[in-house]
Amino acid sequence: MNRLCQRVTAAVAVPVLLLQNVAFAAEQTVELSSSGSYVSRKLPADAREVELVTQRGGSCRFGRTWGYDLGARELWANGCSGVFKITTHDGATGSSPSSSNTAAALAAAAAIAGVAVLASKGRSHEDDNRYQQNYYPPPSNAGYYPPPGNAGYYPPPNHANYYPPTAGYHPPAAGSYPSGGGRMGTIHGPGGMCLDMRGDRVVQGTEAIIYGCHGKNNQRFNWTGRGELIVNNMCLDVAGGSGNNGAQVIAWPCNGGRNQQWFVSGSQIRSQQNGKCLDVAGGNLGAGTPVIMYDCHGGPNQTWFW
Amino acid sequence: MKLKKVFSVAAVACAAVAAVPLAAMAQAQPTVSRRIFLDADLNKDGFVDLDEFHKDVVNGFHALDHNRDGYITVEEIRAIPDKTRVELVLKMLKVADKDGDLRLSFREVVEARMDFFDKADSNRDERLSLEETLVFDAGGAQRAAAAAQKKK
Repeated sequence: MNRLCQRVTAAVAVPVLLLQNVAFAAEQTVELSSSGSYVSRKLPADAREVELVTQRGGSCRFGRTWGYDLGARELWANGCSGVFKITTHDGATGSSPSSSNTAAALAAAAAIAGVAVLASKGRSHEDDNRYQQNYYPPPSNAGYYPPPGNAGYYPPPNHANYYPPTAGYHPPAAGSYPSGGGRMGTIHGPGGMCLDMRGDRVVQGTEAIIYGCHGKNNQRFNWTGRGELIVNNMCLDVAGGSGNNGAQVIAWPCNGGRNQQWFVSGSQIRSQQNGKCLDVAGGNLGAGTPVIMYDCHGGPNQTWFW
Repeated sequence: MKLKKVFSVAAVACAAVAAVPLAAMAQAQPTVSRRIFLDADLNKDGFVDLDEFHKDVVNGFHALDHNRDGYITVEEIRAIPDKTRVELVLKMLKVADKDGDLRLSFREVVEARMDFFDKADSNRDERLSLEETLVFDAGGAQRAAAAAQKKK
């Protein structure tokens, strides 16, 4: 019975709405008066923006005493009387939404999330790239998580263990980084090569390289729950804990250091000490090329999978 | 081999440049905030007032509401080209989506952003100075996290 009523109502309502839309489309300015109580009126379906043209009474301030909702198609006032101009999408010039406007979308997302207060779309792609790069900036020593006030420094959420389901968004305190683990075996890199410790024996100081995959001990890595990549009882280690691009990656006895802890971000393997990526030096994909640390740039020489 | 040498030289050069590490690069972000502020300050009086903020909110909204229906849906959120921000906005959705319809209406976005405006406007003069903007943005990630936590 209820359902039937709804249907009937909808059928009746549609023509009314259509009529209203037509009426509004022809009329770009409307007047709305409120001397202290909430009043509202319908907006056309394709409304893009409403502007206050003239204040007639009260104190008209956007978001305070007047406003609108493009979803509910409603213009409201509460303590403001004025003449408002309604701009429709068709009437708007050069400001229609574009799915290709990456910078604007990113800025808008940041503003909605409260990362930034403003979202003006004057940002260039250059800014955009810089913003992306700054997005997970590794601190040099203070652990992986951002100091208060350092905007935008969170590790990537596509890391399977990054957001603990019950802990909400707050990242865990430094030192309790969820490292993953549970992966074992050869790690495939670019050019069909595998991550490999040079030579047959893995000893303290053995250098990480890429090499044709053969699955022997010096290519078998066990990613532990603490984030270590253990190969033949040694830990994959950023030599000397260096934070530089080009830092050597070697085997070293496991010591629980941050420079021996890794996390996976998409197809990147990153150091927990600074978020830098495991990188095939110079992008040369020949067997024996050293594997080093480098700023993450999404290139194929930083792509790995188990 | 020669090529490799060139690369390692380049790597050393890069290392020298990147020795100003990302913590310092994060300090470059105020440059972005500053430019955004200057763009939003349409009348160039050094402040973003409510009317200018209104424009900023509207333009931002339309950058995400691709089908122009007045709602930012989960699908439209997922289309944001940055996974971290997708997560942030999805978490914001839980906070700001007062009617629980799994989409952000224009009004919900305005209310959420007005809330941030008020937080940023520390001297309560109903307009944002550059300094207020930079201070807010510097604490932005924390704030976003806190806001997303609030509604639990």
